[in-house]
Amino acid sequence: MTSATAALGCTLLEDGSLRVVADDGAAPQVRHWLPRLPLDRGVRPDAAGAVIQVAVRAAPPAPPPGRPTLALDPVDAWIAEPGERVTLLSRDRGVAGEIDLAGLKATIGVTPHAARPIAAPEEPRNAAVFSALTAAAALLLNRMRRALLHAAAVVAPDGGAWLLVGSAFAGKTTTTVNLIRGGWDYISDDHVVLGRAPDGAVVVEGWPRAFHLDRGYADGVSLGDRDAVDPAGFGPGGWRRSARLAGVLFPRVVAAQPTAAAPVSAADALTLLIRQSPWLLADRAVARDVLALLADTVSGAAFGLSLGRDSYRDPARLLDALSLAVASA
Amino acid sequence: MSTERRFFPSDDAIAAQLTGEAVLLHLGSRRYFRLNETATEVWAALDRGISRVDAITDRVCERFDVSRETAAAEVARLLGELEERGLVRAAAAS
Repeated sequence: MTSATAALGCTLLEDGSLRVVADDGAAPQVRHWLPRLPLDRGVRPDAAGAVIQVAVRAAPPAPPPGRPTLALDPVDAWIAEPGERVTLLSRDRGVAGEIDLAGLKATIGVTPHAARPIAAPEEPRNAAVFSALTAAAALLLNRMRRALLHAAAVVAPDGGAWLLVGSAFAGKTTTTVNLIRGGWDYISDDHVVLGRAPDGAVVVEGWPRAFHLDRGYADGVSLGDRDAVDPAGFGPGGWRRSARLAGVLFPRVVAAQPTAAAPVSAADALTLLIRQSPWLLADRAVARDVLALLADTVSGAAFGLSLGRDSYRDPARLLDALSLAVASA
Repeated sequence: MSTERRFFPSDDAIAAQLTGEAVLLHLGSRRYFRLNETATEVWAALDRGISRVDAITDRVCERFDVSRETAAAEVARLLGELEERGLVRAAAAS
């Protein structure tokens, strides 16, 4: 497949240095993964940089020998020593890929069955396609001295970006929505890319997708079931593609207690950050650089954010709790 | 532990230096370890190529208000622990 025949092509970074292209058959499933980014302007489809190509491929390969280096359920990754090539394979063998790390090129093959536009009535996206694309993007970004994080990011009125890092149901989306309602902007509620500005400062860039908000949000309760919602309606805050990092928040729902923020040590913050994104240090060739980026990310302000029931529907409570954090950044 | 041995950071270990502490990661096992102030100083010495136990002990004595005997015991304990976890490798001093 070449970019000239691709049915889908999208630039994933503001500077155009990472693209994904897909053929007709694979395009519907790739669209389920694609962030909601503005249409490319002025970036040629054959521009220099990293590329992920996705195409329908009939015959799945056999798994490589040995244990996988990285597991991103339901996809495993084997990074062959000395670490320039990666093999991806889903456990059902419906999705397979090769990544040339030095050449900054990933090729993902999807069987016709795995490429069906609607994987299942209750979940249209194929989790293996989603995970393979995430793994490929994460490993290529590391080679570009950037880091893909499983995190949300919001922008305070002073322009500084705050990461929201936590496991599923930690309150990332609820916090993001409350802050949007309180006038903060958002970058993403799911995946963000860390990079550096020319002066070395850490910059956060977003890969926004539909928010998955607790079904009980409107009633001020947490039900544990989530619906996909469009964040555009929550305003007054709006979307920003990127912003300089101001700090990191680690939300955690503690319903019975008042909402409060408390400082977290840089070491705790770093380990929490790494735990949420298992691919971060999988590529030994660039692990030191990635770790240095992550260390700089947590070296500023870092706070644990205890989310009480009092702030579920009241952005003012959350803004009060965060005022100290923002002032310290 | 004999002071005749020298210690070197393992190729599997990478460290993030933070304010007053450090986090050490083992790339093979993907395990990470928080280092306290003393362990951070010991790791900083190893990272700068200081490999003799007595030289590392000197640095700890300079940095902290501690007797040489106590520092030596702590350095030996730390190096033993780091070696056990595959974060340093030991070699006989030439």
